[in-house]
Amino acid sequence: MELDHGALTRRGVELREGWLPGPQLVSLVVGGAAAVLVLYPIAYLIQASLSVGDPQARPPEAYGLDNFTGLGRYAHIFGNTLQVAAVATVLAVVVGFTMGWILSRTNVPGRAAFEQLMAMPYYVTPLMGALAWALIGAPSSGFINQAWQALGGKSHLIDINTAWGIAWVMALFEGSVAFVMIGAVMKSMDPSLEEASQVLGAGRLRTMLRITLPLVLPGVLGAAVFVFAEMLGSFSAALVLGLPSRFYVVTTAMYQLVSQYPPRFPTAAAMGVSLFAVMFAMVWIYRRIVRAGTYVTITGKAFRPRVMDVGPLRWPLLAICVGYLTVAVILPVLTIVYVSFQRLTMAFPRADNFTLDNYATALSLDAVRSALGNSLVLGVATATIGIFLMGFLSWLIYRSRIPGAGAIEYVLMFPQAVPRLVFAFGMLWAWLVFPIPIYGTLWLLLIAYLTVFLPLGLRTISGVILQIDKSLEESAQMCGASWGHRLRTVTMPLLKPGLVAAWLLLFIASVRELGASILLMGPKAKVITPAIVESWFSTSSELTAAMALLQTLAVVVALGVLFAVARRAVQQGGE
Amino acid sequence: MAQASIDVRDLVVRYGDVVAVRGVSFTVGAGEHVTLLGPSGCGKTTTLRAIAGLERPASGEIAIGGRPVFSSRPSVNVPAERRGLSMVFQSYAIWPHMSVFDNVAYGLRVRKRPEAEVTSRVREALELVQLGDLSARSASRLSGGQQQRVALARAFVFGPSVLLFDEPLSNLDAKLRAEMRVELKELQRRLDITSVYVTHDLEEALAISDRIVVMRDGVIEQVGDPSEIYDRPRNTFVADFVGSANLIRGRRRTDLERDGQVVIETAGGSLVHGTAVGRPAGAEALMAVRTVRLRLERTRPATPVNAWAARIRRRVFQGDFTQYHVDWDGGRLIVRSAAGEPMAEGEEVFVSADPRHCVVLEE
Repeated sequence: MELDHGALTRRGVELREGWLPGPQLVSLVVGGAAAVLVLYPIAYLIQASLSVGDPQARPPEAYGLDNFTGLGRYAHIFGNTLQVAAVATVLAVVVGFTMGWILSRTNVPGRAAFEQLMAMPYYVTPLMGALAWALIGAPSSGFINQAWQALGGKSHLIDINTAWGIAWVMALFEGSVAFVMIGAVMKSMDPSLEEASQVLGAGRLRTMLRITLPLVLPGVLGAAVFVFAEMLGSFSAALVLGLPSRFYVVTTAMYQLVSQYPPRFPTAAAMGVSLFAVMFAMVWIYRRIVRAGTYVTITGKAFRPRVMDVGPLRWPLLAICVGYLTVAVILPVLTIVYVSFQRLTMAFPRADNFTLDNYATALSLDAVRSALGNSLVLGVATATIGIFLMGFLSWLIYRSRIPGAGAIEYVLMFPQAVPRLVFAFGMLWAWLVFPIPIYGTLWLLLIAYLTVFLPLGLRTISGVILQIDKSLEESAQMCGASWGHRLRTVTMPLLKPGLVAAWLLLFIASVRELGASILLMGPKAKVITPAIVESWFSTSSELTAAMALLQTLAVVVALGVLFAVARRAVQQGGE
Repeated sequence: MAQASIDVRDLVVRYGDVVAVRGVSFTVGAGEHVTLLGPSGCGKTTTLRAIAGLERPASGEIAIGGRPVFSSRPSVNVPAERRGLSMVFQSYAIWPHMSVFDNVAYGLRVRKRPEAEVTSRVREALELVQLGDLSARSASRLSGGQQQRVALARAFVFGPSVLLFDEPLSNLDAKLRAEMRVELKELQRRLDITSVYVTHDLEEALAISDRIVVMRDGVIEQVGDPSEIYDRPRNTFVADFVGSANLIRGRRRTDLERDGQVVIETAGGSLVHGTAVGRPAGAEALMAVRTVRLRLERTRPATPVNAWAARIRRRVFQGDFTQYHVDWDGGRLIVRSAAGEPMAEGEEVFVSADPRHCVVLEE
């Protein structure tokens, strides 16, 4: 930099010093790299969907829209997807709204405990739920139908291998997501808004209809759109429950098209792009609803919600809470445990039918052992690299005030609108042509996990970042600390609880990931969740149940060990 | 370098399309205590943050101790941590994961002072803000007033050349605020550091400043020492914002003017003698007179001018003073009186004012 008089040279030096360690360059590099991670596979997905030459050729021989126009043949699959997603969304929102209202606005006994327990369905996962409900509700061998036949009933009472069955299992799982979203809206509503209505002479019903409902409506609508988008892209329940009856939704059809011989990549890609377009629109609508609606109810203040005395109605409401947790958590888990100890799955226990063989088999199988080991290693790696990467990215987006932060955020949240299976499909193509041979190794899975869980990690960490008052960092700056020093002494320590939570979420999510893993894992580098699904379709349900429980157990043990180690480290550090 | 002057020239700060500060210029002398006063949204905090280096101005120049720290041409922007100043935040911004001691020691440790010096200086600073016995306590377990004191100690302990205050007392309750105001003033004088203080509270500004800069909508309305701002407001905004004032409009009566006085005749025919303090007065003029500068008496006062008959319409007892709403000249005047014996509502009285306190406003 040339300055016109000598007295200013000192200023020039300062400027250069200020630039060198400045965050701009680092920000650009990291933000750019993360954006490539996201956009590279999407580009390949779109390229594949436009390939009209030899379906196996890479890069495509010719481009055109034939794959999209040819999707008409699969109209019934799109119909199936919409049916399942719509039914499941209605069910999940009803569950979420009812539970949200009961637990935040009534004096049902044990509200605080129930609120904690409402996270359980989320941890049970749709795969576990689907396996359990397949055992409970399969048309011939399901427990309920066995019982029905034992009571003299003819054929079967229920059939879980239908659109309704799939929607049921998804809704049980997604109900807890809807609950979290709707419950938050109900809690953030200023109770004085309702009290004002009552003081002005409106009755309870009128207050409910004219004040409460309009205020929570945007939140409920937002939750519905969000849940619907998730349902459109969900995979595991539709796979486990739909495959036996050849009932396909878009994601399972894509999986089928890719894994059959010869694979039909371009058709699958076109399906993926269509699904992605619809989900993208949904997420866009969701954001609009949230932005337009929240100003009324969410003021950023935490209110103590006004609790209504519902009198003897408490007990039926309590029954609803217990009932939901029973079908969503207790029944599935008990079923899996019960089946895992049986020689042959039977509804009614018999002493000679109990065995530990399934566990012995599962643990002796090299494939299971290595898959479980791989999953845990990947989980730790994803979570550890993830919190550094995502922590830095969150800070970059929400705090650093670099130009283009909004655009970076938009790109990084992209995977939210893409089903993991679809995303993995793009990665499959993208990394096959990548000069470094990582295809079929755990490295590819690591990259895949880091990419598809970007929105999860960013949302968790940025939630904490946004809670930290900006002036806490600014005051460090005013004390003369450089940005690196501030990050180390103020920002990171304040973020610690959020980072720990994000680590756990990423670890659990990685170990149990299915949609991306099932497409990307190589024959020599298997992971546990796809192995469980494989076992379900090719070996016995009893062995599968044992494997599913071993996976859960491994996660719990791993977390226990890590917590113990972390606590000791903290204690030693503190002394 | 314990003191530094500040020069702000033609400062413009934008947030997207919104212009928060539109061309503000003022100086703060070395060791001077200047307050930026104005209603919320007037740009005072933005100006302060621009001086601190926490906001990047769109244009203008800022120099601290003669050294440019921001300039749009040639392009200079020294980052906040190298401007050698310090700041007390409205939210206090006390780090909850550190002890009181570590909070205060932060600036010294950033400057890599030897630990023995850190200990003695932190202790000294905590004594000064009367928190000597709390240094080991976790900062998350402090009351609002204590946090305020920690924030203060942290801000001055490392010897900055300028102290910036961003509404530091606004989160305290009224009683504590009044106490801290006095304490803060004493501390300021003792430390003898140049300071810029932002507030929307008039009493605070009057109490602690050498000079006050009144702002509105991103521009400066008036600069002056506290008594000047209070007694000689430049326009209706300042007159109104800086405590309560009566506004009187009238036609000029140059024929009656002498000794540099300005005389106006109101619509109701009353003559008001006032001063122009060097401001231009046209054929019509607007005057401001503070509610406390008006006197109420039962008998006509002996002054030759500015004594008018009036009638008490409403009396409001407010503790330290009584506020009277008085019918006068077909309009209304508000008079605040600390006098002991109250006038009754409906009583016929006389209102008078010293011409020095009837100030012509710019329009």
